[in-house]
Amino acid sequence: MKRWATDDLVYNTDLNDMVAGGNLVFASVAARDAFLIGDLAPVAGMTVYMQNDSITYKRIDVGGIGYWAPTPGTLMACMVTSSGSTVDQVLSPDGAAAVAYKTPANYGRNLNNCFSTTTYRFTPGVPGFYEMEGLANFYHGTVDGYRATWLCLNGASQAAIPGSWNHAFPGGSTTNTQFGIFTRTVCCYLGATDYVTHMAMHNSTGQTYLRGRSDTSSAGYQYNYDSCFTAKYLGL
Amino acid sequence: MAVRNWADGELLTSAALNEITSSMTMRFANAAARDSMLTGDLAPAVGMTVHLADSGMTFMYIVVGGTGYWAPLPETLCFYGRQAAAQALAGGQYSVITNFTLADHGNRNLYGWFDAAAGRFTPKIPGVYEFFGGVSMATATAGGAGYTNRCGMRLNGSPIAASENWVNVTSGSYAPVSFNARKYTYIMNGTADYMELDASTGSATNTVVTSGMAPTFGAKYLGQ
Repeated sequence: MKRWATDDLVYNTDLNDMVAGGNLVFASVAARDAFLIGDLAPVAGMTVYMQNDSITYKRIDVGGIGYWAPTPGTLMACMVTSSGSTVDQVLSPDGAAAVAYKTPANYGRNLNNCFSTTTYRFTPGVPGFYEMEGLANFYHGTVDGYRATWLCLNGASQAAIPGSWNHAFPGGSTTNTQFGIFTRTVCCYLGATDYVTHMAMHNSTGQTYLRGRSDTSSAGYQYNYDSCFTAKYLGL
Repeated sequence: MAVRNWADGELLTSAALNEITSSMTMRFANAAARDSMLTGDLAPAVGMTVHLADSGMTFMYIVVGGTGYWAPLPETLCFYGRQAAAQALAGGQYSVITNFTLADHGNRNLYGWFDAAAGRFTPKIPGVYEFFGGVSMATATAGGAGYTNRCGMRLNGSPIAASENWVNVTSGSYAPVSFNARKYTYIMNGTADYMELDASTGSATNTVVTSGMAPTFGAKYLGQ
């Protein structure tokens, strides 16, 4: 890449440099990796559009290691409690924290399997800032006390990511009442190996549940009580 | 002009090559290297894209009102801060939340537009910004007519009703309580416009900064 002057010769290295500065389109990761070698080895700033997932990636370099990062604003994960499940998740009483939901299902996005449906961890693998929030839907019956939801970094027993905690006080009730609490929107820098877990709890001695099902009212309306987690990549 | 259909036998001039160069994503070590090279035929032009190795970020050249800017990509996080110490909130009045100075999980302050101590964000690129934030209060108590517990955004010193979120406490008290302002999108003029996060409470209390409850404030650039 340079400023061109009259009578300059164009070499193959110059052409490859121009190619590297363009928006390169590939059908698959294998095709990309097979082509981008030698003069066209990945360099920071290189842009590729992947037809397999219709996402544009930019090559970034963090600490001497290269990564293909999705463009800022890319939705990484949108996970909900498994649709159709009829099993509510019992929350242990007395303030014990629990992963916000089990049997998560991909509700439109689980980019590069960054969310594990077995460990319930969001591990994006690309360094950068992430915007995240979760929703926990509680079903508390007659139980008083507060319900809370938050996001944890690198371990379900770790302290909440600052600014992610949100809680509400439903109050005692003789009716079976359910309500949702969003975590606060949090922006957090994640390194290549960092992971996030969505948690929930209640602090009373009685039992309560996280909803895991959808119901249809007598009037025919579909109620969806799924808890969910979303994460968006915001870049470096 | 290089952006055209080329035919066999056409000569490729240096001007055409420079125009091709200027339409690529150009890679520079830093802003100084960028500014040194992008002169003459390669002077910044609308739509030009550069990637800076020092920040790992990509910028696009835009012109607004005759002034050129190297703008980050849409959805870029401009700033995000966490309150470092509990703040006293007087009852019955709005209080600007300040002291977002605690470095934790990667604070961000792109271009230094955020005065973290004062809690004020004054962007210098005009455009659309999305704001978000929230607080935790040690207690939320009924009382203080007209100022029940709320959190919202504040533009140029005036609260924005559309950004407010309320926790109405009609009797007794809750301790603690956490809630977000509503996310708010606004076109900032890139000169004097500034945004803050504020909160109000019925009776005097303090913010809570422990564990995950700390007040936070942030914004993303969404483009033009």
